[in-house]
Amino acid sequence: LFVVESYRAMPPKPPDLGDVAMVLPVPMDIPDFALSSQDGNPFGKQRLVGRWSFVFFGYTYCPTVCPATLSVLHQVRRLLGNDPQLVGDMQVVFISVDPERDTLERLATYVSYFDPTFIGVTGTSSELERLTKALGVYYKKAAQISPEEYEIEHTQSVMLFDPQGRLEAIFGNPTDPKAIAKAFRNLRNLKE
Amino acid sequence: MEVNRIQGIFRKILQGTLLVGACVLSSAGYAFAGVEVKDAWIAEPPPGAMSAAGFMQIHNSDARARTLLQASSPVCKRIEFHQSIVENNIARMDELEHIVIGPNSTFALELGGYHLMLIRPEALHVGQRVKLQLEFDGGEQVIVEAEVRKLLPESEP
Repeated sequence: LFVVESYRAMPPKPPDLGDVAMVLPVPMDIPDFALSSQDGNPFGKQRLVGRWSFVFFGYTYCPTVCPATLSVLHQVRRLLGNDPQLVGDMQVVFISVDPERDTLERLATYVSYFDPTFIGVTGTSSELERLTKALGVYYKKAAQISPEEYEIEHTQSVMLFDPQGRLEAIFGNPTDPKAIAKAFRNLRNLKE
Repeated sequence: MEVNRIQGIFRKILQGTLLVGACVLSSAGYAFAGVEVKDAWIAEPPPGAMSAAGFMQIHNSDARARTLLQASSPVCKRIEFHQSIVENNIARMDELEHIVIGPNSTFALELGGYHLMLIRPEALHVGQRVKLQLEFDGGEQVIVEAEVRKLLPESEP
């Protein structure tokens, strides 16, 4: 009986999308948060509802990882481009953990360089801390050359939220657009 | 023994002096005495970027290690040598003092690894050709032209 009970208590096996994505056994609910998008409008949990959201944390002065990841996500959109149903309700959200330097205006110019549909988001340090802590995202100022010149170490994972605004999957090493597009397509097929 | 060593050093200095400024543009890349630089390119920096990454292959066909001491370019304030490191999905950047290219080997500066970091570049655009001056041990210098490209090539849907 004990064996049966522990078997029952085990969470359902998450879908296997290959090495590129780690799907959570159960989608994770996150606390609400209060940030702003590049157009000046509030950006909280509600803005994740009704869409599949690829969310990525970084900063616009990031030398290579952020530009590379945003280029990859732009290509993911292109790869899914012939499937309006998939692209129609997906959004890419770039959240800056460098609110000191990344104004909303700067964010807007930056994200649209990669893709005009991308949304740049940032906010107060305390709101950013709250959200990143809930998601297990790490960031820390490093290599400070001057008050205006510094780098930030940060988690490079791309997080995928479902249309209920819950964390559904994590792309730990988001470097392969084809693999990400394929995993996303498979996940959508499994969920719908 | 000591005299031979000193003579050897003098010979190298002499060789180095003769080769300064004598960079040769070969069909494959830019070369001088055993060192060849190939496929140099710079990733187009996003608008307002504080830095731009540069990549290349440096081949050393010499039997001794060669050291890239510094790099400079008219399009940026200064150039640093960096290495991208990812540990536990956390990305960070380490700065290197110089780059050592082992004997008979190729040192790859490529996306996700070692790269040149052009600090405070002017606005650079795809297709532009940028001069990079590389200074090696022994006083040897080579000027390479690096093409500005998109960080990732566009893939077809």
